[in-house]
Amino acid sequence: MAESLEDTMDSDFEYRRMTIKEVVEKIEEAWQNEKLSPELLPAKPDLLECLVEHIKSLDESLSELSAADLVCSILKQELDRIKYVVCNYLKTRLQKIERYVWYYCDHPSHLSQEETKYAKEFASNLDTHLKEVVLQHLPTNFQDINKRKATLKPDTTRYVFMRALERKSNITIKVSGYSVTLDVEEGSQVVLPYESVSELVREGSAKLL
Amino acid sequence: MFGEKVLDLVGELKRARPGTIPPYNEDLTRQVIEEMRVLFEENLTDVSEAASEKEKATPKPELYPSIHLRHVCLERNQRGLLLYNYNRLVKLRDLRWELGSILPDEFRLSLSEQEVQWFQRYNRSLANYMRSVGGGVLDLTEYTQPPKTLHIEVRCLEDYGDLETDNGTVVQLKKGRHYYLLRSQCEQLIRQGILEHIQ
Repeated sequence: MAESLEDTMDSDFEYRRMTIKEVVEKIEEAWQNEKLSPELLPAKPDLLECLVEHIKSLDESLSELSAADLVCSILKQELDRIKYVVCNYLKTRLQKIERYVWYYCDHPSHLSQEETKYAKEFASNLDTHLKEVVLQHLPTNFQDINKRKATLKPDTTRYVFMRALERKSNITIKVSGYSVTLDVEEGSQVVLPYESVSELVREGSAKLL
Repeated sequence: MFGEKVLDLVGELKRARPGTIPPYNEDLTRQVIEEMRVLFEENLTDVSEAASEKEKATPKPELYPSIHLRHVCLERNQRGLLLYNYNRLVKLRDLRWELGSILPDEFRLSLSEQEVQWFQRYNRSLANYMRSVGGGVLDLTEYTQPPKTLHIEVRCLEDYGDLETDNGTVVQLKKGRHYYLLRSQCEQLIRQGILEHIQ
């Protein structure tokens, strides 16, 4: 299985060459950003696949050890922690998808394949329900939802705390009609509206705090 | 006054204690829908009157404000009904994550038939998602707290009976006793209120 996966994608290959420590650091970073950003960040299917495989192999090596072994309890603890981070990361994403479901059905670029399917199912499930309990009983002109008005969108104007991981110049910040540019040094921390730094967070040159 | 009933409906849900779902208020829902039907029919008559009079050269602009008012009330009622039903689903969804795929009877009785169906469809698509993404090793609802230690101390709140642990030993859970168990094994029971985590 490993060989067939290796040549599928460049980034996949990249994760495969990393040590487990680096992979876990990557997911922790993604998790932290995901929790703090108002919108959905790009999905990381390769990273996840890599972690799921690691979890499986940990599970396997655990079943070969006796429960009294010290290594066993350390490994179990390790497994628990990795699973917690992965689960919470996916859960945070699902919560955003559910909340802004109509928006993300129209803008699925940051969703993974599975999430797109889930979002579609959730949306159709919701539509069916609202139709059955409310809309079909209403007068003819009121049987549709004005989606343009009713769609919730992530609030990207919210302020976030951010640390720059590398030097960046000319970040444009738009606040209530004004536009300012700003340079940040590596390691400096700033509070800015999310929309002005979303690009940096996505490309990994800054992280949210 | 128009729109008052729907406000009651939404308020009722808003006042409910967190973690609970009030019984589905079918009666009030029906009254709101009836109010909408009446408003809509009045508007239909007024609109046809205001428009068809043109040829007889007596347009009735004085009808426009009342038509507009009724229309706004209709929109508000529609919005309120959708809000009520949508937010019930949000509560139901939270319960799914908290209590698992099988709802206790106390909640089931508060739901309408369509809500039970929605819940089943939601369960199915969540289960499909977890299977496709986690390859069967990830249960997203499992961890509500960060796992700080492998074992935790718990107090048993009601007689439960035998609990078989992963390594095959059987622990008998009795009310009032304390146990030192694997966290992963008692999390579900803690959420169901059978065990209590002692910090």
